[in-house]
Amino acid sequence: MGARTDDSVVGAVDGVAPTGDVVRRAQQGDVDAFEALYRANAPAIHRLCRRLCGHDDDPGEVMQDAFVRAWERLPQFRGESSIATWLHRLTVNVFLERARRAKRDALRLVDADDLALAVPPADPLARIDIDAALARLPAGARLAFVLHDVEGYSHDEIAAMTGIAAGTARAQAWRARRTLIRLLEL
Amino acid sequence: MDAEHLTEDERQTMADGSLTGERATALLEHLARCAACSSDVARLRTIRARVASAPTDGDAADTAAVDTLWPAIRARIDQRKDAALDARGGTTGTAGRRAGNRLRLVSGLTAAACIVAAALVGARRIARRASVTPQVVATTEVADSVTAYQQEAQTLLDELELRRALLRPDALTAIDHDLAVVDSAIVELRAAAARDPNNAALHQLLASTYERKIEILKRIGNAG
Repeated sequence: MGARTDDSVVGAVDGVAPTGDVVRRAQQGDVDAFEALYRANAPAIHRLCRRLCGHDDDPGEVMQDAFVRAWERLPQFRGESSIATWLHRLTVNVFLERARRAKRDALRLVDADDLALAVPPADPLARIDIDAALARLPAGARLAFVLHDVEGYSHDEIAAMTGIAAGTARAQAWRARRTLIRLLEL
Repeated sequence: MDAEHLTEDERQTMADGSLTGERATALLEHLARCAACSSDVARLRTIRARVASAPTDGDAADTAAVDTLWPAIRARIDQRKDAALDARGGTTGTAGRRAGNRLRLVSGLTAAACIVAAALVGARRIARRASVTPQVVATTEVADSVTAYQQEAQTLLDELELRRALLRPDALTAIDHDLAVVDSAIVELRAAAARDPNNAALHQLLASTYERKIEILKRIGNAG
């Protein structure tokens, strides 16, 4: 799996990252230990949720679903990746499931013309930051970009996760870059 | 290569940095000579760099969301524990099931305490009836079983003391309360048996109350 394996994404509580003992206690049903895991990882997961959702879903709801799922699945966590990496992957899966349930066409391939129509014109007086620009992307382009350029998944991995062709995932991510350049006036 | 600009695929791939070998060398040579292609690839790289330079632990909005969202997440976790309590038999060992078992234990202990309290009422009736109807009973066997139960109960109590730190406070409160009810029944039964040493029914009730205490302690052990 080529997605992020960087433990530095684990935000720390008072500068102390959760230890293996905290993970083990959380796996055994200790809610206080789970809360420690939550507090260490929640800011980064919330940012991921914001970037995935844009204006199409509620990042807070996705994050709630993700951590409730994490609580349920934590006994299955084998430590083969960092807990942060595991949480990121789980969150992406939760987001995709919500999109499928809502029948959102999250990965519809948009061509360049569609993309131009789909993105509202930017306020010329207001420069926007990268997250605001991401939120303005069509869902499919945003998802492909975030998963590849932010989360580090390969196009093949994105294809496997989402059920689209790898070439489609690549095209979506590349078109997202072009639109972001325009939105950010680079 | 110098006469033509790079294709979109080539620019994006160069921005990714995923191209290697002779092909990559050729494209790099073109970029060194072509300002248009070079600046375009630079823009694509800038997008990636901007995302990468964002704080990995989120910004103020992300940090603020941590406290806001936790109560709802905690409530949903508690709901799932309750649902597991209702749906599962409580004999297997995931963390969630153990948490559910602890909750089940509390209600189980209360029921057991009620049974013991009812037994205590029965003991008082037996004592009154025995005083009216003398019985010829062999109490030695019952006394032996009471001693065995006492020893087993003490062993289980010692184990409980070792595991106290692992039990939830609400479960621990219920355990202590219900054990106190059982112990109170035992004290009263022992006093009644001392007053009426030949009353086999009282001794049997005392033995069964110890047995009940052992059942409670074993349930606590199994719920861990």
